[in-house]
Amino acid sequence: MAEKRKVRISDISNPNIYPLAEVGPNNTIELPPPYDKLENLPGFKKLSESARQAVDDSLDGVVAVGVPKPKTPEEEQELVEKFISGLIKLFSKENNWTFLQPLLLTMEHCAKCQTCAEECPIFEASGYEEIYRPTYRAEVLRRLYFKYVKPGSPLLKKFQVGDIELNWTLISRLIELSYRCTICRRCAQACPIGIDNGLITHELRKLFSQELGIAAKELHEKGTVQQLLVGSSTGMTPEVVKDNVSFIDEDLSERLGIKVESKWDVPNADYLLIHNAGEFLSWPENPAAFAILLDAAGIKWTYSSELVGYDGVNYGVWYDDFQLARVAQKHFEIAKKLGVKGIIMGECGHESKSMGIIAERIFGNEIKTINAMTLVEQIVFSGKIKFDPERNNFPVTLHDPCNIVRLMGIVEPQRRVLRYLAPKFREMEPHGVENYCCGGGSGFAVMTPYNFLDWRMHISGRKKFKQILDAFKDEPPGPEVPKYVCAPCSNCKGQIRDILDYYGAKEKSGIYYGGLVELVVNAMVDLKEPFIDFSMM
Amino acid sequence: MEFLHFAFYFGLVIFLILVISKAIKIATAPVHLRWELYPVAHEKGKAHYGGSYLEEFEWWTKPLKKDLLGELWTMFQEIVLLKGVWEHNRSLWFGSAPFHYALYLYIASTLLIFLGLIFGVTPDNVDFQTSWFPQFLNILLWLASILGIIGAIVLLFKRIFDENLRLYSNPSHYFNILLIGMLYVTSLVWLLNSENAIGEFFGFYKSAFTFSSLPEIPVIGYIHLYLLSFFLFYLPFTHMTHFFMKYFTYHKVRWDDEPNFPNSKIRKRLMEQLNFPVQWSAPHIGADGRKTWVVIATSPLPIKENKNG
Amino acid sequence: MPVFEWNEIKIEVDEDGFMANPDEWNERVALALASTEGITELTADHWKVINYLRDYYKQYGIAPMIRKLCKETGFTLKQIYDLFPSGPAKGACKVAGLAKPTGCV
Repeated sequence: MAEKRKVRISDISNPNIYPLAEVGPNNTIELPPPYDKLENLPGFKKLSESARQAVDDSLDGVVAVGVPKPKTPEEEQELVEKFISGLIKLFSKENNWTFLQPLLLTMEHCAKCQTCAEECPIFEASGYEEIYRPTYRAEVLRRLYFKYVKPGSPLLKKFQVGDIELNWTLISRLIELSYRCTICRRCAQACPIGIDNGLITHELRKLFSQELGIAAKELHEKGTVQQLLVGSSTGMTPEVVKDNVSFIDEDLSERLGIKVESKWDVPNADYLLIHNAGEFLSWPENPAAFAILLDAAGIKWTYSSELVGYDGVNYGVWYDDFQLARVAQKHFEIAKKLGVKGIIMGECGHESKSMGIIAERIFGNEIKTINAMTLVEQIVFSGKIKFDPERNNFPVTLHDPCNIVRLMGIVEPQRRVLRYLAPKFREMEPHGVENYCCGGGSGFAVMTPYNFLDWRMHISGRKKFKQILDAFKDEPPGPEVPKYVCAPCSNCKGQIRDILDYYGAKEKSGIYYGGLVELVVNAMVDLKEPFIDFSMM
Repeated sequence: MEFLHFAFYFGLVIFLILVISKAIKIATAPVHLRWELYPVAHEKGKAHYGGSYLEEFEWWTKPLKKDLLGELWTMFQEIVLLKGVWEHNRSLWFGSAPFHYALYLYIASTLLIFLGLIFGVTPDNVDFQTSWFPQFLNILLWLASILGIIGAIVLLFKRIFDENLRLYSNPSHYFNILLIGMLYVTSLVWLLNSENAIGEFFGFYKSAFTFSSLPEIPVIGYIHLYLLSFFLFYLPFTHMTHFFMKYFTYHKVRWDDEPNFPNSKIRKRLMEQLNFPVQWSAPHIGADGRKTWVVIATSPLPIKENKNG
Repeated sequence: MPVFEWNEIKIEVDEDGFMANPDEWNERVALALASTEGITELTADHWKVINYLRDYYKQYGIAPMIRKLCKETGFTLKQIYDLFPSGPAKGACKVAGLAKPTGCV
């Protein structure tokens, strides 16, 4: 069999190789039946002719950002110069003190041993396409750093890291390529030297956003910008969110025969609860379960109806330090104004990480943040609430959100809860800090432009889907037994929902998904009706 | 001073200056935002499964305990056993391990020679034909040379024949392996050629430290020592500085979980950094080269939303 | 932006077929957009859903919660899928001329 020529680092600036890599459905990660036949799955959506003319698809035929093509050579040149100025700022301590030290360490000390490559679920799922190798992107940036930023003899630098030609082709492909990694950082975990190729994705996205003003529309324009101006990345204004929450309260009180009562702007409450606002729209049971649980535990809590105060997302953590800081600052300011002891962060991975440890370093530790996993554990084992674990008598597995587990070290609280309240709990393999990303990390779960959803389902999400199927392989394979994937993170839930839809796993295998609090409330003896209703999921 | 002495000192001085200045540069780089990666080795009682103090409810009300022994144990496994490579890249370990062990053994034998010189265990006052000390050094150097050659050959072959490595290798990678490999080849030939190679090593270092004339050393010894001098000079310019930078990648990035308490040391440094002027030019940043980082981060978006929906 | 044409209708849509300018919506446009969803005829049930979505969108500027849509129209989620095969967000909202939902939804 003739082997395809592998893509070289320098190929990224060669416009004659089009596309740079071809990627599509493949069986490198084999799935068990009935998911083993590729022909039964949707392929990659073809881009329309008008889309192909407007945006650059020359990386891999997939479009996530949709970089507009420059109209003239002058415009191209201008962008190249802007890129160089951004590159220099990325390595300056004034402009990028936030990540300069780890960035320099990664730039200077990679031994190119490729130990990280095997750990990347995207590289594997693509059938080992070179452009997705964790070191590929890093190597491009490293050569650019040596060529344009680091002082020294050009000849020596070529000898050390090789040369690269900088042109618009490279830049536009690199923009897209910085949205082909979920920043799960399994690669960094495997690196014996401590090099972090996930960080490179993060820093590249920052360069493009902070200097060129280019970012995924869902993260910037519809994300942080909308959040800061309208109040939420979902577009919900304070009026809408209050209306929705009161609807959820009524709807669930009616169905469950228990009072679900959300509170707004309560002065002197102990805690401000901030959910990822997507929960209200897509998974209303989750905030309702929080309300029931917090009240049952006697915790004095409140929502805030101030702009940004009711949406805990902070997409800046994936692409822009300043947007990150602006959103985080609003959260802290609102909590301070309310006079609460701290913020309870809902089941959202990047909210927990951005507020709990990243913003903490920027703005200080005066506003305390409580992550949902430890809070739920505290409540469950406080003895204040009676549980009947038999109510959760269906198979349950746990997905570890990267942000909460690998990147914050919150591993056991959620497991202690599940071991107690879900008698049929089983782990995925691997799990805990070695988990695989859901495939929707770093904002992918909210991005579905062009054919990016197909890429997310076939490439970035495939490993997780296999893990989910494997976790339930000792159960009857059909839909007759409902199986629950507990994913305590809104972003992961969005991705897992899309995977289950795409592969038809609810119909074929009876696989459902939800958060952690739903399982907890479902086991509460006080509830007359089951909280989890599979027929509604 | 002989020319070999000059070359050796030149290499050594450049090595020390560059290693120290690079370490200072990275150690004094700004405090970065938290970016830790679990398992964090100093998490007491939790490191084995990757847990952190953030697992504790209201963690700030509890004392933060750092398990320094845990850190040391992890470092030991990483340095001595090359655990990361063993777990994630087994086939490379069989090249990387002998390669690194050879370096450790070579450094150990050199340090022992220095100790011998300091404490007067030298060919001048001890019989090197019968004493155990030179015999021991002899074994160390033999082992170092043989392991080093094996390691270099395995790594070189892997880089050449494994496409995954070849595609990401530059001339410097082959050169570095060959250079280190040649160090061991020359030391091996030296050991083979001369019955008193250890004595000659001693003689060289003694003459270097006392600035006296060189003793009799075979040609292969000269080649070895020139190579060594060049290697010392060359190393700080390469990615091989990871031998000490690894301290920072682990302690200052992976394991940096320091909370930002009021009056803490990092708070003071952060306050300075928040006042750095910013130059990013995307319109939504609103930087002008004078406004500081914190002013930008706490001011409203400088752009209007272009379209609703 | 791509332009979508159907009979006499000519509208700008985004890459997923959602209207670029929701203000240009009218009932003929709804029919045109429905054709992209494999819907050939808009029944009274379709209109019930569409009208609710439009009213809500006019008032609040975003799409309603799916749960609310079901409750207010009296349809189950399955019935909505029967009416709009790609579902409430991707199907019904598109035909009703709403913009694509954003955020973690």
